[in-house]
Amino acid sequence: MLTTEIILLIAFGYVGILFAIAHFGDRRAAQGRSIISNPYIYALSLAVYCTAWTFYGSVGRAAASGLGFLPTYIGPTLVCALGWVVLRKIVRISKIHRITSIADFIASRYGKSGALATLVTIIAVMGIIPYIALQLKAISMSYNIINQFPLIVMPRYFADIPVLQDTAFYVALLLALFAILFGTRHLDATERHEGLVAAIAFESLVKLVAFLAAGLFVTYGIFQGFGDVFTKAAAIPRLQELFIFESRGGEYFSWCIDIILSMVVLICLPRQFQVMVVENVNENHLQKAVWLFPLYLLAINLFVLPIAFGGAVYFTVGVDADTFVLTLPIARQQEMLSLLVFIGGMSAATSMVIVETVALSTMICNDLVMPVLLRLPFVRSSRSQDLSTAVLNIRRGSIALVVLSAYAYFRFVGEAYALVSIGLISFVAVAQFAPALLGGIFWKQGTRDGAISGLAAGFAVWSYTLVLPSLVEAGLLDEGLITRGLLQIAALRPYQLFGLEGLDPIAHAVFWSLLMNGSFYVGVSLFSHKTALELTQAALFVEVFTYPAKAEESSLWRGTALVTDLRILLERFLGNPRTEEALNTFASKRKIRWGPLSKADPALVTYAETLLAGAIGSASARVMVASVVKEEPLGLDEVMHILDETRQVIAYSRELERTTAELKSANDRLKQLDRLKNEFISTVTHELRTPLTAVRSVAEILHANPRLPPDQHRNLTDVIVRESERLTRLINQVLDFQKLETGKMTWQLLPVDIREICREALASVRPLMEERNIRATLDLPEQLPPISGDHDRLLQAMLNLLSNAVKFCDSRGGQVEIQVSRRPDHLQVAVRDNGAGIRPEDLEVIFEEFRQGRHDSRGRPPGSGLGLSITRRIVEFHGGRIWAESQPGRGSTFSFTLPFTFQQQEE
Amino acid sequence: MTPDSLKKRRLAGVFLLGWVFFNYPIFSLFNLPAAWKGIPLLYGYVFFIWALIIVLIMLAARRDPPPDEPDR
Repeated sequence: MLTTEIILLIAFGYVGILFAIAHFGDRRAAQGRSIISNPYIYALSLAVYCTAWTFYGSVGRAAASGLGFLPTYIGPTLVCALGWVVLRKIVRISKIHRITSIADFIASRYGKSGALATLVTIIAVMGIIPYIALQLKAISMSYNIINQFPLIVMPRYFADIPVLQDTAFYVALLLALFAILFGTRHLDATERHEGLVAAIAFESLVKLVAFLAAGLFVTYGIFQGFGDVFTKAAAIPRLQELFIFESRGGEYFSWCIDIILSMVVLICLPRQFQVMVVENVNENHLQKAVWLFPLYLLAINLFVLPIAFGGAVYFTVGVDADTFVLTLPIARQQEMLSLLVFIGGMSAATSMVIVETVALSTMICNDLVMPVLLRLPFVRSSRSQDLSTAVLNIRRGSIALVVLSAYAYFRFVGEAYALVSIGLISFVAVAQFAPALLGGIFWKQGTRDGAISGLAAGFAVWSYTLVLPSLVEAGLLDEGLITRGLLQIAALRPYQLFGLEGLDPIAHAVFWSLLMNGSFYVGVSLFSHKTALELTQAALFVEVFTYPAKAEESSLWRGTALVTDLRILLERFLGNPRTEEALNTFASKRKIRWGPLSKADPALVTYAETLLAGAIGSASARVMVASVVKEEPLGLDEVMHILDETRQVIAYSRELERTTAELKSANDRLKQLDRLKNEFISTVTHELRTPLTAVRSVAEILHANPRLPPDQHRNLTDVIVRESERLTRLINQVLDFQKLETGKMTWQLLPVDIREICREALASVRPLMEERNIRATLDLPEQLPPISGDHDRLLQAMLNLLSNAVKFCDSRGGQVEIQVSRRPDHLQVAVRDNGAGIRPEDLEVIFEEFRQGRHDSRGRPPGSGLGLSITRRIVEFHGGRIWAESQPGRGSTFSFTLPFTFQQQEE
Repeated sequence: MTPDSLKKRRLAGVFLLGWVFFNYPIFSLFNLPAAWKGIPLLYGYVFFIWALIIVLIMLAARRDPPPDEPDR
């Protein structure tokens, strides 16, 4: 039997488990073995998005409007698709600038503006406190219901219960204690709370399991599956109407507006900013979280419709749809399940309260209290006073204050509203941050004045269209305000502002507030001037991926400060050990040693400011650092210059990479040429040595045998002459090549008959051919106009080709054919042999200098490797083209063309 | 195109797809008083598209595309 004692024991036992998990998480973090550093815990912690509003309120809303509850979860799914672009950018910016709240983010973007931070904080506090109250209300309501087990009694008025007998009051106190213990343990520049995140992730798991269990029980325990629930509901006309949208356009528009609202809210809610951005361990966790988190949302919403319709079918009257999740198991006398659902609802509520109060307390402390505190004369003047404890105490006080205000709100104001309405009103309030936030990271022209006026306008419209009517409904104001409008002006009716009708109050408020907000933001931004600091921050935010990943590397201080002064300042807020550690890290990274009178360089000043920003917010940090730095005002030009400088460093390093790559390839090419040259030298010297050796050995024979018979003597001297000629030829070739290469060759251009040259060339190699039994054929046209060319060079080219052909001809039955043919504007000469042929891969390279085709059997062919290269240059000088065709084993053909009209090339 | 910008484009595509499928007028095509195995058509449609979008996000964000494309 569920007695009050058991329920209380379980409830407070559950909170005890949270304390244990958080404690464990913090201890592991201190040991450096984080339990939250993985995408799954990260995604679960994001599910703090699902509050008691999801757990109880979605069912209530579904029972009243069908699909109307879903945009709140579809919007975040769509944002997750853009998560890699939008969320990652916000996370990156926040890590670089050590931003710890959304107020700080917006303020920092618009020139570290204290006023903007304060405005954002005020809106957030006003918008969120009712939302926290809603969670407390849910806890109280669910407790009162389960306490009546097995009866189902709707709690009517909470005001009847004395505060000191209200369970929700004690839960609120416990939650405040939790937030204080694990949310403000120490003042750290990163402001991450591992234990807290671990507890939140655990709570997300609990609420999902509880809701799924309830859903399964209702769908399959009370009914026979999804189809059965809806079929039974379809029999009731009031429920069947909810299966489709009304055909009027208004509902589609509201649906669309609701999706937009929840999209921006996922980024703008302080608690989402806390878990998504501030508590993010590694930005790569987003990669998995962007689909895990929507999957969580899908799972927790799967049974909302069956429970809503099941409840509406089951209880015909007298049970609030907001409580169906709990009352259906109670109606079926399911003790354990009822208890599980109660704990699930509590986990949804408590996780939200914890994270939201921590996030709000950071904002209240840094952006409301600190600015005032730091202006007090005695705080400013006493330089050695330790402020870190004071800051922590302010945060602790803020947490208590937030929780207690929320409780008070729930007790005295929140009676009139259903869960969902309060939640949506809060949503619209924080949605006002969207233009300044999104504009801030994608639009450099956004200014501080624009952001302030946009926020103020949006906030004003929100107050008028949603808060004012809620006061009317709470009975605090005259109802005529809603029906007839302010001062009896119909255009000023809060629910039909400027006569806009046909929208539900939320869609109506979202439309007008975001329209005003956005218009003022853009309009004023375009007509206002930016300070140097705003300009800087705009560039650093919008182009975060093009600047260095450390804030101090794009340093924007031009001033002088003593290192000692900065150290004292840091110690006041961070305490001695942390300051020491941070400064030592900085010094050792940059290999600096500071003496007692060392001046701080701009990088150190920026580093100190960023550290402080993590603890007390960017606007306050700016003020504090400015108090010890004698700043020389930065001109606009100077800012642009510094920004350019840092960007240029990156651009420069990219340029350097590219140049290095180019140099590397040039170097490779040079190495290859060098290798080829070496080969060439060894080839040439080898070729020179062979005839030289021959000449020398013959000369030695002649010297040793002076009385040789005359014919033998003659034979031997013949050898000397032939070999010397070969030597001369070789040396001439090298010289020719040298001349061609350096452009020193002199050309004598005269009309030349190419047939003549062919005959001459053939005549010179004929003895050699006869010696090797090679048959030569000459195929010349009868009529051929002369071309303009250098006779000797063309002859040389022809000889090169012919001697090549002879060299590679088949040793038995060799054949060489010369063919000249006439084409319309040029003539073509082909020299064909029937030798071993050339490998296809060598067809191109053989014309390059020092290259020779390889022969599989014979190795390197005789010759310098320059002949074909010289030939190519000669042909190209005459405006022609040379190429080789070959089928290995069937011989090869070398052809070149010579144009009839030829303009001498500029050499 | 860098692998990262390819990924961004894919994810932006998923977003646009989701936006179109979750809004008027595509939405109105399924706004019929029909049911599939007892489940109202519109409800089934919304949850189906929702699941589809999640799978697409998973595929698009899963890992960096293979680095066989040149970086610039």
